Amino acid sequence: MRRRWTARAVAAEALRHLALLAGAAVMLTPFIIMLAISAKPPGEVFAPVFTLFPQQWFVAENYAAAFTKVPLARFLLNGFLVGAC
Amino acid sequence: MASLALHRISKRFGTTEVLRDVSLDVADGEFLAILGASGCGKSTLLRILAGLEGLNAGTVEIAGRDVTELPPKARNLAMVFQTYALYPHMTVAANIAVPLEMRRLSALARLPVIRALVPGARTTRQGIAAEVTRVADALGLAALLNRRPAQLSGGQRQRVALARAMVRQPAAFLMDEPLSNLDARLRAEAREEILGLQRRLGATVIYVTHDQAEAMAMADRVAVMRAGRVVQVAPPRVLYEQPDSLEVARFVGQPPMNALPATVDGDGALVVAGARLPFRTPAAGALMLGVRPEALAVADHGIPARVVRVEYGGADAILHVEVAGASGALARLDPGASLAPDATVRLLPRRAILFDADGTRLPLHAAERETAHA
Amino acid sequence: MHDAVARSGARPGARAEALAAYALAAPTFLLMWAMLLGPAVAVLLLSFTDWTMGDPEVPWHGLGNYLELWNDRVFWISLRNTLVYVGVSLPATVLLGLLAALLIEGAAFGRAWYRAAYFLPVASTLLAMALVWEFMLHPRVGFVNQVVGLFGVPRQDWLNNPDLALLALAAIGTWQNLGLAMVLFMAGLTAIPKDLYEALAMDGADGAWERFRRVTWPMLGPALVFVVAITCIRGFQVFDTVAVLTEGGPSKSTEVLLFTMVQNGFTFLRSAYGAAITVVFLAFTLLLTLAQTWLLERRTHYA
Repeated sequence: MRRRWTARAVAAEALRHLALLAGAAVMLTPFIIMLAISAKPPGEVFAPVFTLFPQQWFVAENYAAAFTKVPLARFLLNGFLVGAC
Repeated sequence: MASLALHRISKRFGTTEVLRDVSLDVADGEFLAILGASGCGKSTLLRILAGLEGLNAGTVEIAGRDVTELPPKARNLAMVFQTYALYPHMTVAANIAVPLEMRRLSALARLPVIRALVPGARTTRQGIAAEVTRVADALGLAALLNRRPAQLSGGQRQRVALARAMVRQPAAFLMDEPLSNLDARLRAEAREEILGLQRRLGATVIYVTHDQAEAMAMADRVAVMRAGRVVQVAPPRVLYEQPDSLEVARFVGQPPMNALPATVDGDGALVVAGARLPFRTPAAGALMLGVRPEALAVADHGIPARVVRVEYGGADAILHVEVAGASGALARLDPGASLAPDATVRLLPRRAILFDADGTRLPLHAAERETAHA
Repeated sequence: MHDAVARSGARPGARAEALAAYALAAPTFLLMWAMLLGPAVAVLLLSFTDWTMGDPEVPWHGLGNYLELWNDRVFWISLRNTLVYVGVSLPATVLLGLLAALLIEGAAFGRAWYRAAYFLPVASTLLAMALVWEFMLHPRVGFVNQVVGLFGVPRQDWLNNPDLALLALAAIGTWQNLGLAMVLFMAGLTAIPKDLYEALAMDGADGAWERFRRVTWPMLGPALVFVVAITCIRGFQVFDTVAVLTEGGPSKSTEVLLFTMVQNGFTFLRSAYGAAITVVFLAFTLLLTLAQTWLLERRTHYA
């Protein structure tokens, strides 16, 4: 059916997207925080005020540590094998 | 009831042009059939008329009023869908009542529980119920009012769809191939019902179909559409006897009209497959002679043809022949006719229509009775 | 020989056909028993014993475990908590999932992006995300407290407050399952014939409320029953968040059925007792599935 773009329809559509974006923000926040934390040095993680972007980018160190402290690559492969086979 | 007018409608879906500059006028109380093959744009045209599709250019008028910008509910039209589109979870009575409820009850009065509190709602509802019963009786649905659509047969569902359309006395009825889901016997009955209804109500009906027999049998006028254009609008008889073009001529009539390549000899007489026919024309060049199967008779002179087979049809027999190496020509004969395959016969056209190489109709006159010689 | 066959009424080859049928069904049958029915029956039998993990003997105990269950305070708390959890997360998941599906399906653009965003939590590993949630629910530096602080709500220790912990877990559960409810509803929505809405438009009803009330909601019946059943069962299955975030605490306020079962069966090694709890859990799940099937039969209207 046709969509008639009256002023009212435009406003309704805007409201719809506002609601959907708010919801999407809620759904995605944990993932964003996960990424943010993974880029922060230990001192910043528990900083009294939460900031999205780290003051000091610790990405390489964190991910390197993840792969060396436990055999993460092996774990990923295991997961893949269990899932795919 | 009202007259309708479609003026220079154009419609594109993406880059495909579906309707090109279509204009159509429908008189008050007229039954107009829109006839065409699948994909010619006839359903789109109907939907534009209903307001269910937008258009890229043109206007739609109902009773002289421009309704192009109005939504469907403001146009006072009723539509019968090919699939009937009955509300599956409502009873027949509830289905028929929906248009009246939407029109006569305020939003508050329509709500399930609160409706009891709205003053006057009860009387309105009783009025609505009375009208539903009246329409249901008119269509023989009185015994089915409490059933759900799933419990009805195809023919009954079709009548419920009609009742729902009728109940609000619209300016015009739009029907999108409403009989195509019924079997042949039911279809004939339903056809009579719809026609009877239209006459009783004096209703304006726009009827879309791909079945030329249906269109010819039911309509006051038929609009033939092809590839997004209206190629001819005329009463069935005119369409059959005086088609404007070869494609219209071949579209209407079953079995389809024969199209035989023809030339004109020095005297202006028509020659087909080497045989001189008793027709004269001022035209020249490569032409097509359109002869309907019932106008071809086996005679002692005429177009030479090789018999392929004779198809027995009960009331008649269809003779399949090859003319000048091209197969597909047909002649309608008496049911008792029997001709051996590969035999040569001569076919003489009693009537014919002449078309030029582009398919446009040309003037043709029957000549004086003369001996045609091969 | 033909006479004999004709007299006995058997079709020639009927026996071979029957054998072939059994042979073809055998693999599925065996797998079903090996993977589903077998373990279920084993658990049932185990629940009638008094076996501890590692014991060479399997002593019969009759209904003893069930009696103990009946008198076990922790079991009843666990059952109650599970029911509260489902009672909170089920309506939230279903309603929000339906709302999301309706809003997204009707949007003029961006549908695929929204679908992906709302479905991502479903696709993600709850166990891993639970750690992120732990961080987000931290009383001091947690994001959630920062956000509610904007609305004037005082900071809460979500996971250590016995009154709030279960609700917090229910919220996480809703967050995770909303996307699933949404896609199931979307499937239901796209199955609704478009011409019903067109007929409605012709009949004079093109407002969102009328369209929802007269066509969308009634036609979503089967989808709704399915979503409720699935969400309910997943609610009963809650375990990851409890195990990682609260371990049943504080003060057993988040003790749920499956957690109790795992604790008894694997931590305390009381396998038979754990089996009894499992049977209770399975009974609930079976009940829900049967209710769903019965309701679906009733609510489907149309050819």
